[in-house]
Amino acid sequence: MIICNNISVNYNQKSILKNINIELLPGRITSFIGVSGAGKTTLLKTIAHLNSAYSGTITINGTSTKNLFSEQFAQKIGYVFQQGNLFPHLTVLQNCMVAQNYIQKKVASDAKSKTIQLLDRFGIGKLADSFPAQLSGGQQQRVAIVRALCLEPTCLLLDEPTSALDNENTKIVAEMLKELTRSNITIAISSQDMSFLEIIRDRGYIMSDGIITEKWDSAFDFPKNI
Amino acid sequence: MQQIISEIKSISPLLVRGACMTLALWISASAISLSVGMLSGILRSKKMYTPFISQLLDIITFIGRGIPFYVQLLIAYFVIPAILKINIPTFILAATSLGICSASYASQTVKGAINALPSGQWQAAQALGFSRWQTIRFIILPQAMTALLPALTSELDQTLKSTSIFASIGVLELTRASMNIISRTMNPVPVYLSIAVIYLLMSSILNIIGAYLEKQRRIPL
Repeated sequence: MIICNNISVNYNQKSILKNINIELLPGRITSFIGVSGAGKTTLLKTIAHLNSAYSGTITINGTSTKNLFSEQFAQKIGYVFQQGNLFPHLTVLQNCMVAQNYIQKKVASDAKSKTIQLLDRFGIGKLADSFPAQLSGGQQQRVAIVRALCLEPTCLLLDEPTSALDNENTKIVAEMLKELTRSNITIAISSQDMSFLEIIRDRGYIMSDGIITEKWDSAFDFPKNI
Repeated sequence: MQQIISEIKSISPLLVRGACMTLALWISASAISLSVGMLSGILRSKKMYTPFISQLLDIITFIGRGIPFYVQLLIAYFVIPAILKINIPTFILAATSLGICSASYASQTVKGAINALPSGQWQAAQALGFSRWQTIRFIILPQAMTALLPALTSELDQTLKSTSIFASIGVLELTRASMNIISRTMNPVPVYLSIAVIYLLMSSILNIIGAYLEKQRRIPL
């Protein structure tokens, strides 16, 4: 479980996040909804330690994240970028194995079998030898999710994962995330794609101008007028 | 024609000696240029910028690129030994001065290629737990190499041609060897034609290797 207390972020004397208090629960998908500039991406990046200039405390299962090194952090929190940000010079398989090889120092054969297993699980095993530029947007996004999962994080953060996807791929990604919650993984997404959020329909927060304006805790409370 | 061929045969031992010296100077200067230029370029890039060290490298690069190599060589040959009151072997002095001058240009090329990559690549590597140096080594440099290879090949090509300037300080490289031969034979035609072919041959080998490496590193788009 991730708990954020009084998270504030200022950039160029402008307040981007103001005293955010949230919690991300294991086995649940927490959505952050809001218009562009509401602070969703900044919040997710702050939780993932990609933005270290913040005030407040973030704890993962009771441990403060400020004491963690970057490689320890990556094994606790996986982050998927809006554009996927795959490494263009590496194949899908290499993209997913690079951190396992150099950061986790896994044996290459173990890393490869784990990666292939995950790629197959999400229906993209055939793409293992393709380069990112040869994939569609939906395939790239799924590879980015698998790349993050390869490090076996306890929490997965996804920034606008469906912003560049068609309806078909949006459904595939949503189902993929729902399946992941069965492994008790903590998932948080930022999105303004209502068709995607309708499928997810778990718990979440509405953000506006860097503050939390509304919160819901179950699919039944999913806000109808956003 | 036959006379030219027989004259080339007679001067070839000295030309081979000169070519070997040119090759040795070129390889040494290139090694300095690539290693110093690469490190300096990395340390001067946006994401690796470290106050003082990067600023110092900025100044050195500015000087290296701002003064003609011939003037730098004269300073290295006459001024530095006079100030330090030490005798530096001419080969070391020549190779180092050319290597450092070339490194200034290589540094700028490397810096530009690294800065041109999207910052998302750095963030993705950070999210996977890579440190800054690991990101440079495993993620950034392999990508930057695609843009770097043609520019670095061109830089090393230029370094090869700059070795001819060492003739002015008496290093017996290819150009100096040809001058010595001409002062003896008084016939510049076969000599200058021969060294032009030798320089072209060396340059061609470099360009073939460069083109091969570029093809190997091409990223599918």
